[in-house]
Amino acid sequence: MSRHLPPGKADTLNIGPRREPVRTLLGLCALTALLASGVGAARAVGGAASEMAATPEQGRYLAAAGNCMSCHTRPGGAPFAGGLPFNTPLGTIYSSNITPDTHTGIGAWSAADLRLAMQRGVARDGSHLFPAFPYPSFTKISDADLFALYAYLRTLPAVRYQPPENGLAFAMRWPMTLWNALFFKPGRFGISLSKSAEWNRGAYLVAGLGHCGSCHTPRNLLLAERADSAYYGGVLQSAVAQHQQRRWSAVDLTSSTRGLGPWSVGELTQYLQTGVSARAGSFGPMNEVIVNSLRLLTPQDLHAMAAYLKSLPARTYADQVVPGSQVSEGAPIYKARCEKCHGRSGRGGLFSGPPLAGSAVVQAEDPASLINVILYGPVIPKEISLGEWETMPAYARILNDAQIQAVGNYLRGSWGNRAGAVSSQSVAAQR
Amino acid sequence: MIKQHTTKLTCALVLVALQALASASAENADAIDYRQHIMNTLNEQAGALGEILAGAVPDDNVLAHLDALALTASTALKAFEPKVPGGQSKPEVWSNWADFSRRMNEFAQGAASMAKLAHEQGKEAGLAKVMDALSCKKCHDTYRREKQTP
Repeated sequence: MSRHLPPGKADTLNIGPRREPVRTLLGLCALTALLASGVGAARAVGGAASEMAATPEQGRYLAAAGNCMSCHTRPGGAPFAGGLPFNTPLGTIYSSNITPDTHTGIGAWSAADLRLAMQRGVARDGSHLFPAFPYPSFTKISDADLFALYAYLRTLPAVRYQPPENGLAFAMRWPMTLWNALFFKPGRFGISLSKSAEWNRGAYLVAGLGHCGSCHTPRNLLLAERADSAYYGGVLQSAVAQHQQRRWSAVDLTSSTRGLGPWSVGELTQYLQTGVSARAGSFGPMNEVIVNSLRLLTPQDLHAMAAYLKSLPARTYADQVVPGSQVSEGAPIYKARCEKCHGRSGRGGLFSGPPLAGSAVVQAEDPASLINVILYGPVIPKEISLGEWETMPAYARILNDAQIQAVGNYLRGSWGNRAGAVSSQSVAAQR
Repeated sequence: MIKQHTTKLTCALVLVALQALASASAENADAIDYRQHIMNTLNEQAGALGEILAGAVPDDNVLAHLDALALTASTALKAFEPKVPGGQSKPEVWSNWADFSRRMNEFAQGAASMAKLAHEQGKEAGLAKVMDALSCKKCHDTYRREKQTP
């Protein structure tokens, strides 16, 4: 990998294959980080405390933590070469090629260019990026980590691939200036000295590279994450076929009874590492997060993320309940179809299936993911094993919409679960 | 006269055939019922063990549950010997009989040695084998189908 780099805009920050300046620079960065935030704290959140840390190998780990792969790889395409479509209310936008190809990728980018994109949402040519690229989260990443990430991205095979043109609405980039002024708060992760090093590390990973809020925080009408509702649970679309999108609800990650309240830090750590714990198994878009990102992280980092998530104050809900008559309507279907694995108590079992009592998926404000798992089953990739839980079948051809609505209401109103009723429209929308 | 006799004979033959059919289908239903009782017993015992392992109930009955599983598992293969598709059995049970019966035998042996271990070395030793011995899912994924009728 001895590619000669064209000069970037801020050449002093160029940390391509030329090793010596790199080390000096990283030394300086590390020093700055240490001076700014104190030795222990910088180590805690992932500031490279030594120049050794900022190697491509370190960057590979950070790229996993950021799950760059899932969005920057189209189905069947080369890793990191982009082209994955994102359907937004404003039209389709495609992920970019982040391999070091000079023409179609970011081969001409300097480390400073990457830093500008990640921390400010501004591309090398000065144009504003769209927040489908989660720079509002990535702005929290330390300089040292960004340089390591850059060093790793330089080592990828250069792939010549030009992603398709974005939809028309995205031809205009100037509105992003306004959007940024309204919603974007640039700035590195701020350490809380009153919290433990582990908590800070967890918060840094969850809020920065992990960009968990991109899916798990609700967005406002202009698609910005709502700062007052962080990790309250969100809604996302994912492509299931060429021109077909499916709506999903990402669960409440706060410690409410409809979120992670019933989970222990240990259970959450295990789930992040393997995609399964006694509380739940992964399905839907979370599969990619487990496979391409979380399972590649160290147990210490996953424990830190779990500890941080478990510290989030519980979201409070307006009291929603399914009327008793609607709950009982679904009971016979539950008994015939679900009870064998999920149990009469809804607590599931080691050899049968996950608990539905206290489940964040079952009680999610928007029942999209619950309906999806009933309709299509929890399609599990080969990298994830749900142990001895039986494989849940797809009920799309076995139950009709009214039956799925009825059983959904049974789940949302039984065993102490509290969530609003499932509407017939919400079932039809997921077909 | 001859015509009348022929009619009577035909009627009698049809009746006999119908009876045979009815009794065959009753036998088939019995075979399906029988294997379902056995599979349900295994399911219930595994479920009870799961409650214990989850810490939801005391573990006093562990040995009895392991014995019940071992005994019931030893009866399971026999229950599938009648070649009667239906219930939740896929036809592959009989078209891949060599594989199916090998797996059933392994299951029975695994359950038996788990129970034996628990008797000889204590509950914990038996329970340590539980995930290996009760790997129901793999066979279910291959040989069991979801009930189709709504």
